[in-house]
This record gives sequence, C-alpha cells and structure tokens, in this order.
Amino acid sequence: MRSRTSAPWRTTVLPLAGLLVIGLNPLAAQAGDEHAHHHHHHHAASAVSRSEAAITPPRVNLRNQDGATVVFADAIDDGRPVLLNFIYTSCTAICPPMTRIFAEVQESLGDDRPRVRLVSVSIDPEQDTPRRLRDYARQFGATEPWLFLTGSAAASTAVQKAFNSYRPDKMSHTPVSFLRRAPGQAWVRLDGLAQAGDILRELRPMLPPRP
Amino acid sequence: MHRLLALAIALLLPALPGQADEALLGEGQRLYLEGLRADGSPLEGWRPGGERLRGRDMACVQCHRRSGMGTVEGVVVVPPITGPVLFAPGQPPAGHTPRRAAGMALQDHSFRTRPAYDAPRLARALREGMGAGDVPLDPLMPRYTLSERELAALQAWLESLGTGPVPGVGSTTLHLATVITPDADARQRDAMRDVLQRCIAGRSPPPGRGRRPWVLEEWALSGPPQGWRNQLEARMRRQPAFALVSGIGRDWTPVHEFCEAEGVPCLFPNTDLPGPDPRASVYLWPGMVLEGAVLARHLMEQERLPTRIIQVFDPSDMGREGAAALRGALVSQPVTVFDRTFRGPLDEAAWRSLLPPVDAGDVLVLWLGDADLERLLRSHKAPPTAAGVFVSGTLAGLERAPDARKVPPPWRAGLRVIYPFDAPEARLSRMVFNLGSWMSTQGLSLARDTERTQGNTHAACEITARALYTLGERYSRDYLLELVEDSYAGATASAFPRFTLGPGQRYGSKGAYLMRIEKDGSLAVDGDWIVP
Repeated sequence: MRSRTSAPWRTTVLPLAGLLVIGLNPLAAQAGDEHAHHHHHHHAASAVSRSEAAITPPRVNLRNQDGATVVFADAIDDGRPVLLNFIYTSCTAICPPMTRIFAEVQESLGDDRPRVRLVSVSIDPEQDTPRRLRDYARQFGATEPWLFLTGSAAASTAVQKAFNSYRPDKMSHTPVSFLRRAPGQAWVRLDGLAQAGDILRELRPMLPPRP
Repeated sequence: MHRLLALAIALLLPALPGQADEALLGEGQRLYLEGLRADGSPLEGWRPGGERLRGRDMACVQCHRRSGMGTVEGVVVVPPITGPVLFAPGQPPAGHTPRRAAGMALQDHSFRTRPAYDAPRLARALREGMGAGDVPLDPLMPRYTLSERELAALQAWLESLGTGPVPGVGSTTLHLATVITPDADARQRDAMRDVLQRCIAGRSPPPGRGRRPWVLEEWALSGPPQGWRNQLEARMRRQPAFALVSGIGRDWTPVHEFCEAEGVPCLFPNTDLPGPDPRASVYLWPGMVLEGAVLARHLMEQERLPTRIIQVFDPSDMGREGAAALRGALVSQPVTVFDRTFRGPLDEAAWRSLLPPVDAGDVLVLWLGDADLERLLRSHKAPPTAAGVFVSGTLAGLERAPDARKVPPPWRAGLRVIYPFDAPEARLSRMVFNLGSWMSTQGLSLARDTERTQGNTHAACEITARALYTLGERYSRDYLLELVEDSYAGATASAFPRFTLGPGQRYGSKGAYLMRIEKDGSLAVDGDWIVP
C-alpha cells in the first residue's frame, strides 16, 4: 500500500484512527478551500495522504531564530535528511499540534537527533520575527538542528509556492509535512496531521547507516 | 433568545448549578485560559495517536479562543463551546442545506446535529473524546484527566461564556463610538469623520431584518489629556458602546488606558502614538516606536555600525518615542547614542548651534515635525559630513511626495526618510482603485493631504463591519476581537503596503521603508521593506 515511487504526485491514502469532519461552516466555505474538501466525507476516517514530488528549494534569503541570514536552499541542502513544515506562531488550532509532533519526532530520534535537519518556515513572516520564533522554539523544547525560518513576505511566499503549499490567507492553511532523504532527491509529502509515528516510519529509512 | 435557552437548560438539566460559586468559576477560568489546576499544577491529557500533553498545550483557549466561539483553520473546524451553544442541542445553520455532488456528500459538522451536553456528556467528551451525539471528537481535541471538581469548574466557566448583558447592545440597536481628541488636526479630523460616518451608515444592517442596526456616537474630548479618562468613562456610563471604531488623536495614551481598563475593543484609531501592550485595542501600526526599531534594524544590517548616533528631538513631542525605541534596540551594540534635546521655539542661531560637531562616522537622526525640520536644515548651508542623516517620515509629514521638496537640495543626497507607509504613488493608485468610486458616491474625494487618514479610516470601518457581520447576534467583545483578527482583508485602502492580523496580533502593519529624495523632490523606495 505504501508504494515508493519516484513519480511526482502519485498519491496513496493511509487511513488512520480517528475522524476528520468537514463542516458546512461559512468561514470554511469563504476560505475558498475547495481543494481541501474533495475526497472527504462526513465521518470519513482521518487520513494522511502520501505523495512524492520533485521540488526545487528556492535560493531566497531567510532569517533563522537566532537572527542570522541564511539562503534557504543552502540551509536545507546540508546533506542530512530534512523534515519540513509551515507554521506561524500565533496560529491556534493546527500549528501547536504540528510543532508538538515534530518535537516528538526529534525526541524519538534519540542519538540520531543531530542527523536530521528539521525546518519550520513561517507563513506569517512579518509577525514572526526571529525573537518570536526563538520563544516559540523554546516553548516546544526544539533543539539543534531544528531551524525556524522567517524573512520577507515575498521570500516566505516563494518557499510556500515551491512546496505547492501556498494559501493567500494563512488561516486557510492545512497541515502538511515534507521529508527528503538527500539533496536532489524527491520529497515525500504527507498531507493531513501526520503523527510522529507516521513521520518516523518515513524518516528512519532515510538515515544512512551508522559507520 | 439566549435567555430563553438558558432557562430551558436550567429546567432540563437540574444537575447544572444555577449560580456557580465564585471559587469554582475561578478554577474553571484558570483551567480554560491557562491549563492550570487549582493548585497551580498543569492539566494533563493526550491526543489520540499522539504523546501526552500538559498545561498550556491543553488549555481550551488554545483552540476555542477566549470567547469560546471556536475558529476555523483550513479544514479544521473548532466548534463553539459557550454555555448557550454547548448546553443546547446543535442547530444546523439557518438557510443552509448540506451540499451534495455526484459521489460525495458534505454534511453538517456533528456539533450542529448533536443533542445538548449535560454534566455526564461533558465528562465523557473531555475524558474519553466521545461527543454528545455518540460521535468521537476530532483527533485534535485532547482527552483530559480531570477530577469531578475540575469538571464542575470547567462546566461553570463554559456556562458563563456567552451569557449576561453585553455593554452597548441595546434592545433594538448596536452602539458604537468614535473618539476625537482635542489635539487632532482639524482637517484630518473632518476627513476621518466624513469617511467613518458614511461607511458605518452604509454597512449597518438595515432596520427590521433581524439584526440590530449600528448607531455611531462621536465622543469628542476636551481639555488637557489628564481629564480625558473621566470624560470617556462618563460617556460610557451615559451610553455604553460595544466597541470604539477608528477615531483620531495625537496623544492616544489616555484613550488606550481607558480601552484596556474597560475591556472595550478599540479598533484602528488614527494615531501615531498608540499605548503599550494592547489587548482590547487593535492598531493600524505600532506608531513612532516602530520607526525607531526599523532604523535600528537598518543600522545593524550595515557592514559596520556608526561610531555615534546623534538624535535630535523635543522631549515633549512624540519624537521621544522613536528616539527611545532606537536607543533601546541598540542597547547591547557597540555604539554611543547621544540625545540632543530642545524645547522650541528656537531662533536661527539656536537651530544652527543645536547640532553638535558631527564626524564622518556619525549618524544623525532628526525626530522633528515639519516646521522644525525645515528650520534646522535651512539653518545649515550644507549638511555635516556624516555617515547618514535619517528623518522621521511620520513626524515631518513627509508621507506625501511633494512635501519632500522642503528638504533643501544640498541635504537630499545623504538623507533617508523612515517611511512606515506604502510608497506614495503605489498607495495613491491603490486608494483610487479601491476607494475612489465609493468616495464619489458619497460626495467625498481623496485629497493629497488627507488620503492617509481617509484610507485608514475606511480600512478601520470595513474590517469592523466584516467582523460584525460574522458576529451576527452572538454579541461578545472577545469574539468581536477574534473576528477582527480574521477580517484584515478588509483593509484594501489602508496607507500600508501590507496589512495582516492573526490570533492575538494587535498591529496591522509591521514595518517601514527607507526612502530617498529624488532630484525633483519626490520620494523613492530605497531597499526592502524592513520589519524589525
């Protein structure tokens, strides 16, 4: 079922325990989120949808939680497997669980923790100053090498678009996690609230064997 | 309607205490807002499939918000859990039928079809994640470890949400107010008033359509700032306002303090001096402190810091706030910040001698109003040899392109304007596009010297109107603020290039440009939009 393929956009759906309920809320409709509505049914099992995609990380300048300027493509192309998501620090319902799950992944990696680059890119970069990102990272116990990135609105948008995750309204963003074994390889995209176990199942085989 | 529901609940659910005791309510509030137990220890629980959670991560307010009205993020619907909603049967939204298409059916969220919650059902939902309609709750909803006392406390707090009288909500009308302080410039004040009155009148629900029409009062203050707070309190006693919209003034501190103390939403006043740490107030921008912070950020991004920063300001004017912010942001940097203060009026010789000797490695920052800036610049035939000269665009009234002509030509090359607005031409064309035709229909027109006030006032009205429409008849000041945070897209005609809000955010615009002065005296963007 979990077919590995290098063909971009080929998708398999993994049903998980629990429920995802799509409401008829006028706000959700107003968000124009048609894409997110299809395939889902009332009381359908909550699903994480797995796909693979070729993505070229853009060479834009961003700032990390320490205020240092980094070139995004270089920051994630350091040879390590990468786990990436999009967040904003004032987000209420989705980002705290997403960040908590990444923290749990980092925790579970144990001795392998320094061998995986975690990256959280802010989709509200003007609000999320490096200082706010640093406080946010601390709140979730994030440690090296987990990068929190912000920058100009244009740079953040460029990254979101490269990952096919851009939404004009940050409130309409949906949970997505991205993983990549090494620079130049395809990215695994997990749409939905992937739990730490889901992510670790993808991530562990990406780690090169220890010498 | 809510009162009837509350009565029905009281009759149907004798397990619910009619009057929660204060201690219990306080414990419930702490659980809800902070995720802390009565003894200060963190609340504990877990998410299905996830790890254990504690404290703040578990606090209801994280998702259901302070109002209890919930939120929508992407496809995640966080249902409302206020007393009148939670302890009554779910109601499908009026006038909607579930959408259907071949092969799929989109049905109502279970919170709209479930039976009413009662104490046992609430306990089952919180502890086991099973909803009142025997439908498991969303996996995002944590499962809680709670004592009987804690359950009762949470229930008491939830019952208190969304009940009780709300100030400004009359039997047939919704009362809004706008504050005008006596230090506001008369022309800007009139520009604000013209746009606001017409916009509120035009966006108000018409009478007889089931929604309370909006009534806008003008609260014009008088005398020195020390007396404003009393005047505001008296106005609020005479006719409470649900929210304050737009308004105008230079020194906004007393109004800010009133809004924060009263907990009344004060939405987007035209001021360059907002008060500190807003909660009930939402501002267009952080004001003069932002200019100081932006300049500090710019200086720190240069290859080397200046040796000295000499800032000139009148400590009785708002320039002091910009100066203090610049100093504060550079406090741990190897640079000397030297304040040169004055109290006007000064004669030409005094203006000339105001500047201390300036070295090539120094930066000069002029926090001066337009007349003072012109006098200082003209008192020197040539600018001193400095690493840079910066002036406050807000204070000097340089936000309009032709006004930069008052900067004498010898000064122009080395001078940069701190400019927390959209570039003049871009801004004007956006305003004409988004606001021009509405203004015409109202018998108003955009004017070069008032367009910033006109556009910002329209943005304030439009954001508030959108939030009030979504609010409907579910009156709550906290909920209004939460909806304002979502309605920033209404700011199509603001003076700022980007205007966004989010949960808890209190400033729409967050950065500034540095502008250079072209040969013809017009302003041009020099570098990127800087967010400190």
